Amino acid sequence: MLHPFDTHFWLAKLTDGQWISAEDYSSADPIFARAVKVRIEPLSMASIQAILEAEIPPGYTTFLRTDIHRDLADLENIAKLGYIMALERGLFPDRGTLNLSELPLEDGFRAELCCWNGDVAFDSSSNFRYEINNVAGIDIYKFIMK
Amino acid sequence: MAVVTKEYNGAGPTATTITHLKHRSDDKYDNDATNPVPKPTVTGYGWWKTVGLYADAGADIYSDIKIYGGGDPAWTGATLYIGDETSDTYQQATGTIDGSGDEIVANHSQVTAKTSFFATYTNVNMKAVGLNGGGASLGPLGAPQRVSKYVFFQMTVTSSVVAGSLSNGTIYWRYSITS
Repeated sequence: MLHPFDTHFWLAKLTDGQWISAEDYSSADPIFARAVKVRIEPLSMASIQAILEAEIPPGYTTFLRTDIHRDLADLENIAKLGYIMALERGLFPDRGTLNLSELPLEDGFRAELCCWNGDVAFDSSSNFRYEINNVAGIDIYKFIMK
Repeated sequence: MAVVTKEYNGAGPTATTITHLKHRSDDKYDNDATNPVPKPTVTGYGWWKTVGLYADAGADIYSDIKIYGGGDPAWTGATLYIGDETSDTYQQATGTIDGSGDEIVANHSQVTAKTSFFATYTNVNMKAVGLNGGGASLGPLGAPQRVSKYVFFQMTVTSSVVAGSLSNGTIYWRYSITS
């Protein structure tokens, strides 16, 4: 589901080759469990030009969150916006409702596209790494299982 | 799907959308010059404040709510405290109108300790607030409701406080929604 404040959105490739996205689904929906590849992409040229991408290894679950910081004094605007992509080994039927900060980082990774400064924060177990490629002015952060 | 801050006042309580957490010597939310916290001879308190994050109905799933300050305003003789506990139990603020509020740790049933908010909680050390009901997530919401637990604040002033309005401090909520 897209919000008026969103600057990026997710797309996921399913086992049958079909692509779905946040335009029509939530990552909490059952169909998202069939994703084998996931990307977070900018919605427009005005957005931070960065893409997060990961292949989802068999036996892993993907979690997608939007982190929102709001100033109590400002009803209209979002102070900071971050897009979280996280993978963890195991089957998590509650992947859409789980509090990600309460899930220990054991075999996966957490990546956040920090839209307030364009940085990508990456925290990982020893079995993931990332590489950055710039394609047509867009930084593509690809998270790879070692 | 608006998300706002509500202040809770009265016995009910009554929830009001706020954009300013005004510390006062009564149980009101109004951001005006009435009922200011008096300068004490030793130590005094504003009446404690109860706030929560409140969301409209909608498909979003909320989790991991936190609160933090946007820098220490370093007020002379005044400190904003936050109750160490958050709760789904409301307790109306008490004290003397135009005098001191009752100290929160001694008088609030849900608060056993307090921490200097701006000096402690920052963007790299946020305070976990928790969700209304205590679950790991909340939503989709069928009706507008408070999504966070109640958060309790209290202003403490000493005899060294400078008379007049203090500079504004900034309070941020941080929460996650399932994308």
